[in-house]
Amino acid sequence: MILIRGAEIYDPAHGIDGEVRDLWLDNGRIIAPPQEGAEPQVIDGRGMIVAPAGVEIHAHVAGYGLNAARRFLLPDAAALDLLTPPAKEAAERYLCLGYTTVFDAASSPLFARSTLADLESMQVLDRGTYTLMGDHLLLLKALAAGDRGNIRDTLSWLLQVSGGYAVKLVNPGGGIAWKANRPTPGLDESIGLGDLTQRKIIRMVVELVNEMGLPHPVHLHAGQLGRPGNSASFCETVRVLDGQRAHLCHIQFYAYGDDDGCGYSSAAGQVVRCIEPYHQLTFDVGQVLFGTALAVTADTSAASHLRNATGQPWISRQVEGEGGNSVLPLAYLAKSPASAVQWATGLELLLRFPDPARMFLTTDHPNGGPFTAYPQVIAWLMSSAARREALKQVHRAATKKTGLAAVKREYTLGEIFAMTSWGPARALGLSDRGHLGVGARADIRCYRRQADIQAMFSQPAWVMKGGKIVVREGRIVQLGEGDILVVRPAWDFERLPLIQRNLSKIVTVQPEHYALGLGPIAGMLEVPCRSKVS
Amino acid sequence: MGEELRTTCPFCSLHCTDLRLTIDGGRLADFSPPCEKGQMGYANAISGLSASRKQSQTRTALQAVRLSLEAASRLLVVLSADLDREAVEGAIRFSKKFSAILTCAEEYTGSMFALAMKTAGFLTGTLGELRNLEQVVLCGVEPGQSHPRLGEMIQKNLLSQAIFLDPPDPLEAIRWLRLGNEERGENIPDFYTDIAAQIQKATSGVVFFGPKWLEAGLPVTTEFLLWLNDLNRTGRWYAQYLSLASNNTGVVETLLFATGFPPNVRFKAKSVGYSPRRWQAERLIQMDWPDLCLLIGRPRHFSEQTFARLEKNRTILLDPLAPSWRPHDWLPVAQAGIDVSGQVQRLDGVPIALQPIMPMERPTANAILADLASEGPRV
Repeated sequence: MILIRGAEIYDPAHGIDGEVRDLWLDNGRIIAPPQEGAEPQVIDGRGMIVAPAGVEIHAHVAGYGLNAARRFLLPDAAALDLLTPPAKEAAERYLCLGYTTVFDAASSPLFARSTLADLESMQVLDRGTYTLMGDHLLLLKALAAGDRGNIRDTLSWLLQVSGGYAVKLVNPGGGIAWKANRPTPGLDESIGLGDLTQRKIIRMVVELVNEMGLPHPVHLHAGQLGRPGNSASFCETVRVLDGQRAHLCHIQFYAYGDDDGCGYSSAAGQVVRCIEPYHQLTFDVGQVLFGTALAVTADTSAASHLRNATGQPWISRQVEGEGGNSVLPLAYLAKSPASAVQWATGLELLLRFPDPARMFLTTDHPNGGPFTAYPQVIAWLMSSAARREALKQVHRAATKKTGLAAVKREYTLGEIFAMTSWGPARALGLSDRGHLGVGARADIRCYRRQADIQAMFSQPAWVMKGGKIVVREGRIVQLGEGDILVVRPAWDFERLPLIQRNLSKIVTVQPEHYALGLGPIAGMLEVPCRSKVS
Repeated sequence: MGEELRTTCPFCSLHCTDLRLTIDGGRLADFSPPCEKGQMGYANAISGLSASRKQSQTRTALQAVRLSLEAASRLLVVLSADLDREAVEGAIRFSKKFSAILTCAEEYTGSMFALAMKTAGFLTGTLGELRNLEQVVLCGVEPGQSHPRLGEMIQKNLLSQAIFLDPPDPLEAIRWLRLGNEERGENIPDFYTDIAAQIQKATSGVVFFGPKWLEAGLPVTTEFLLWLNDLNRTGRWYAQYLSLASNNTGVVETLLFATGFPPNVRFKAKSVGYSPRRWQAERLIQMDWPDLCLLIGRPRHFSEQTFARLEKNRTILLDPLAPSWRPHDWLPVAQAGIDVSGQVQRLDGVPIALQPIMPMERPTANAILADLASEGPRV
């Protein structure tokens, strides 16, 4: 039994905002103060800030796409280390930042074994991945045929064979249109399979996933990413989700006005007004940082657009029967008007959106910059003076074409923990973490209070995973053993021959060897679904 | 008549998942679909099973290796091109423990490739994508030689759309192709202007290329990849590197995943150094740098001089088959896809699982390396 005595506790899930309290732990869980019992091991919490450990909802840290990126960055050792460290190294960096649960943002089913190999090496964390399905011909053909039972079973089967935790849709249908040399379809244009449109794909998959009761709803990367003036189409996509649970990722990249055709401006205000009333939706921001970054995306049409716009070389790999993945080096420059607007738009979104438990901090690592920069972003969010200072250093477009300078809000510590722990855990359907209530996992971070917020968040005094201190003063002191989090929704096994027959028409690997197969995965923890379907 | 087995081939980087084998009386009796390379690979592997030593002898040899490790201060670990993921990861852990230099047996062109890609980019696709394209250009490679069923597929389905390029001077050829459309008549041979026009017409295609065009030096590689870049701007043109024998199983990819670098790395206490030119296997062996050389899998393309050095110096070989040369110690190990399961990567990066067809008691390379690392001293 462990007693953390007299710490300043932050637990947004239970409305605890900096109260000095004791916290009791036993067997890796948080417990109520015991009436009697053995003498606990006491950790002195006086002068310390104690909060639930961080939960990462969206970062590209595993899988095959990163190897392409590593080849690309080979001549640049610093960028290689910052943006594409081996998965084990990335996991250890997360742990040292106070994060104990991390989700890789996208994994192609055909490459599931590569992703799993990376996840296996990230064993210091609880971790998982989302399965890319928005361009999977097996699913798209099922959607075009409209048989809901078949669609549901295809979704379940794909999740199971790829070891996925959630369904990821990336600009659905955009990949197969790109492969056919067709322009990226709009929301209501056919993707080339009968009258199937992006609107229908999104709506049907979102509804079915919610019926299946997956802990995390559809994780949606919308169309028109990164284009000036894309806020209107993004808001239209949000309206498609009316009444449904869903998570929209890196929305900074969709919050642009077109500045009367003269490049980027921020449309953060309009986007916030549009999305705020949809209380069942959650978002992550995809904050941009100045410096080297790397586009790693399954949105080939967006990457292709970026390549044509920047003239940068890219690596792009198209996957049979699916979409593809692309890699393109990026540099966000403080003195570039476009980069300055993107940087300010992300902060503006975070600051204007009222509920930090629904809008989460991410950099879409490595697309906006490295996740190791979170402490810097937190420092900007908590201090308008720090933002004013930063604004002086960047191109004036950040002041003129965004509303950042006018926003006075400063995040509180409680709000920071809501956006980095409680909110993402809840959005992921992980009720056992992200809070400090009785029964929660004892995944805890502890900071020594400092005036320098960036320094404070850069190095927790200690990090606890499962009730054991695993990091102390920025160094790993003990290797914890986390779980690979997966979902295994029920499906009609009798449909397997049909699924395999259809699959064999679109991939060169024999169906029985496709992805990971149907067996259990070593080290997996199945998170239950709350199915509404009998 | 033996029982028919369905399995996945470990013997070239296509890793066909639709093989049917019949083994009768410890010999390969039937093999389909037909493929000389696969058939020969299986026949050799199956006959090699009986040549393996008994476990007690392996233990004695292991003891000798331990003593060698204790005495070694400059350890070179060389990976062959046909190791499964587990063996490569075992080699990485072992190399870290002993602060070794870790290389590949085949000269690795990755740094050149990376530099060129940084210049020009690269669009490619998995095998199923490639077979759907309009045009095939083969640059200095004959796919049938190293990947018989790929050659067969091209011959059967794409021969009329195939262009073969193997000029004595690739640099000149690529420049002609790049200029072919714009500057007809500027001393460009008709052959190249015609090909350029044919390529220009296609909205999609694939260019297969091999080490020959990469090893011709940075100007050729860069010009070649710039040409691919031109193609990508006119349509959807893929490029696929087709190795002859190296990287059959994705050894390079596994290294990239696990260390962040391709081969030719040196492990130190808390860091990894990468030096593609200095830390090449043959160069180090011929310089007599290692005082202990651990070969994991058989090196297929070492020169005679290199083998002579290896025989002279302290060399340990972990391989399923008995060597035709004389290493100091040979420890027979299991082979993924024959007597144990394993995971490899297809030439397009798709991870593929291998299944055992004749399970045996041979230890895996990973098990031996783990055993050595658990008891051996840190160099």
